[in-house]
Amino acid sequence: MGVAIAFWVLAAVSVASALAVVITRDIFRAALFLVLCFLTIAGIYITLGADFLAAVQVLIYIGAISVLIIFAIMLTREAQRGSPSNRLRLPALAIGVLLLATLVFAVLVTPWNVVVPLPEAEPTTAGIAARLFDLEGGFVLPFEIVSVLLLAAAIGAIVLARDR
Amino acid sequence: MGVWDFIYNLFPRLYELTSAALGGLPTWASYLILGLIGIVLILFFVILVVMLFVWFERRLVGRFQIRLGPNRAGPAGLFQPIADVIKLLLKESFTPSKADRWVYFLAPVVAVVPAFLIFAVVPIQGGAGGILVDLNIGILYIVAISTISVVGVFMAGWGSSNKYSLVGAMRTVAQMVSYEVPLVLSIIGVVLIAGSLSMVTIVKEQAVPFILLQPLGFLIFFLGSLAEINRSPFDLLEAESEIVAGFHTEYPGIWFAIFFLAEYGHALAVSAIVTTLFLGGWMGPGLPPYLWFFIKVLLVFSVMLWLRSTLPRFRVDQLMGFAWKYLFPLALVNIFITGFEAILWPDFPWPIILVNILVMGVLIVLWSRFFPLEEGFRLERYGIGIAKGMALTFKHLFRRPITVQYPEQRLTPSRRFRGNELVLDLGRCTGCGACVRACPLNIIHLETRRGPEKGLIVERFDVEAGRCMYCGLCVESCPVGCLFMGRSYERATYRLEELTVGMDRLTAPDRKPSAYAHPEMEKEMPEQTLLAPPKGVH
Repeated sequence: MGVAIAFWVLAAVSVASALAVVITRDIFRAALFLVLCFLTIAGIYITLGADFLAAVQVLIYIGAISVLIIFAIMLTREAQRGSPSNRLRLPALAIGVLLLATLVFAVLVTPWNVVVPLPEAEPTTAGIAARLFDLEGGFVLPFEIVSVLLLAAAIGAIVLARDR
Repeated sequence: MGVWDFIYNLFPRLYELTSAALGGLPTWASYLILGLIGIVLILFFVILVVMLFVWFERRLVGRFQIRLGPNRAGPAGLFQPIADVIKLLLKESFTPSKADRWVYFLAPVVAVVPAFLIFAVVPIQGGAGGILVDLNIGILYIVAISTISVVGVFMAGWGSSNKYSLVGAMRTVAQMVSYEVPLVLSIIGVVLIAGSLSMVTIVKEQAVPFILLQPLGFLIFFLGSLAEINRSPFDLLEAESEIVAGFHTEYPGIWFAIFFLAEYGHALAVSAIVTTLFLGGWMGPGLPPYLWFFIKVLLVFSVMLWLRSTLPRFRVDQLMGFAWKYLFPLALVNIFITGFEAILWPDFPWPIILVNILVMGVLIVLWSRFFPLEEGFRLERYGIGIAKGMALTFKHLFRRPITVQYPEQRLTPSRRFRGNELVLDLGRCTGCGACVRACPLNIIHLETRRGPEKGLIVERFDVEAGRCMYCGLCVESCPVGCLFMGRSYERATYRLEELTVGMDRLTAPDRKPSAYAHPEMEKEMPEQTLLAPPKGVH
């Protein structure tokens, strides 16, 4: 009951803010609506019991991607005068509608394996950790290698960026 | 179940009492009410502690700078933050005419809400009631939530339509995004050892505080958080000499107060998170757990203030270089080492502590050698310099403050102090008028008449003290030594005519003479208050 109310509120807000992203003429406000949209989607993840995914959604989509978008807007000269217009409005609409139609079609056609009654929603973090870091069949070695790889990339970047 | 038990387990007992009182209600209602109580408690807790922190910061930074700090409003100046808030509330509220109003007014809200949300998962004490909700993604939740405040900063900088605000916001966001990477990576070490993201489990796993097992991780996390909350030496966004006040330049009164609350709320949150992740949270012998928690939080905050009062600000390029060249690779190395240790020695035997501290030292030295922050950077020079500076500010804590509690407490001036106007010993005065002739400003007025015997009787001796320049020539020229410089130094009067000092006031017994030009009096004088430290202490 409570979850259903939360879902509908979140769904309405997310659709409305997604529309606002497209319709708003002020590009900075559009980016802010995008943040709101991401936030409500994180909320929907929580109602589904996917808490890890929700946190990662906020961390990556708001903390990184939106910030990057806003940063790009701030560095843009013409942003103060509203959204830069171009002639791609109709093609964009067509592609958007096509994508939506494909998604809706796929969701409707796929034979979902529906389990009744629903199992109790459980926190996913422990499960993910167990799958990833189990000593047998886990991904401990790749995890270590990733840190070495990132380190190598970082050092490479530093060396490249040096003046000499 | 005595009084001590109640005090010791305050939060769980309160929780039990509340849930017992709500026992008759349906589950969802008691859940809702308990949640609301928790939220209200957190709101009050954060606001109260922030006010305490503001006071604490100003007092402690005062001591680091050998001052007293604000101590007038209330006992020891404790009500100073209240006075500040009232002042801010009463200020004129305005909006820049070109501001994007929606964005402008939403920005402080977006900035402050995450600061409150973080406290939902900060454990003050073990057991139910010690934490609002023990999320099993605890630390990840904190990291995720605190990134939202970046958006608030952005909105403030953009919405004000002011170039300084915009530059401040850009700087802040570049800084926050850069330092978030090492920050999150340094948490992974802790999570690997604790085997959980939940804040409660992380604390419970700390039989040995993680600062010993993860010294490098602690260092990276602490410095990264300092940058995240824009505290000195990472406070580029409010470099007053460059960009006024950064992103909140255009915010007046109460809106500024909200940003202020957000800043200190984040400082409190960071102190609490460092306590939880690295210092063993509420655990400690003897005292009640929540007291241990607060003591540790205060300790972490004091270290922040210590850094703030010692180190100068970073330059922008140094700031970025520090994040990407030092903290980021070192955080990766830290993960690598911790991962190996977690597989090879899952129960972390104690020699690991020494090994980790050694590894940290070697890594820091090697890294500063291979990747100098700029030309001529040497750890031997700068590192020792920083350590010396820190030691110096620490010593200041034990020095006598330069400032005094005036007027209750006054400094004794030098024995030959040329203080207020003159002091006249009328019994010895012969009315010769040498002082009148000596005065270069002609401000001494003397009237005499013939006495019944030989000599003159002084009828009027006025000094226009408002014009006196304290040259002391009158005192030096007096042949009988009846004229002295005064020892007091408060000059303010309410009326102009009070500045002309007559004979009755010059001879008043409460006017104390100084030993200027009267060396024979020096021995009886009290010694001058010396604010300089004794020899050996700089």
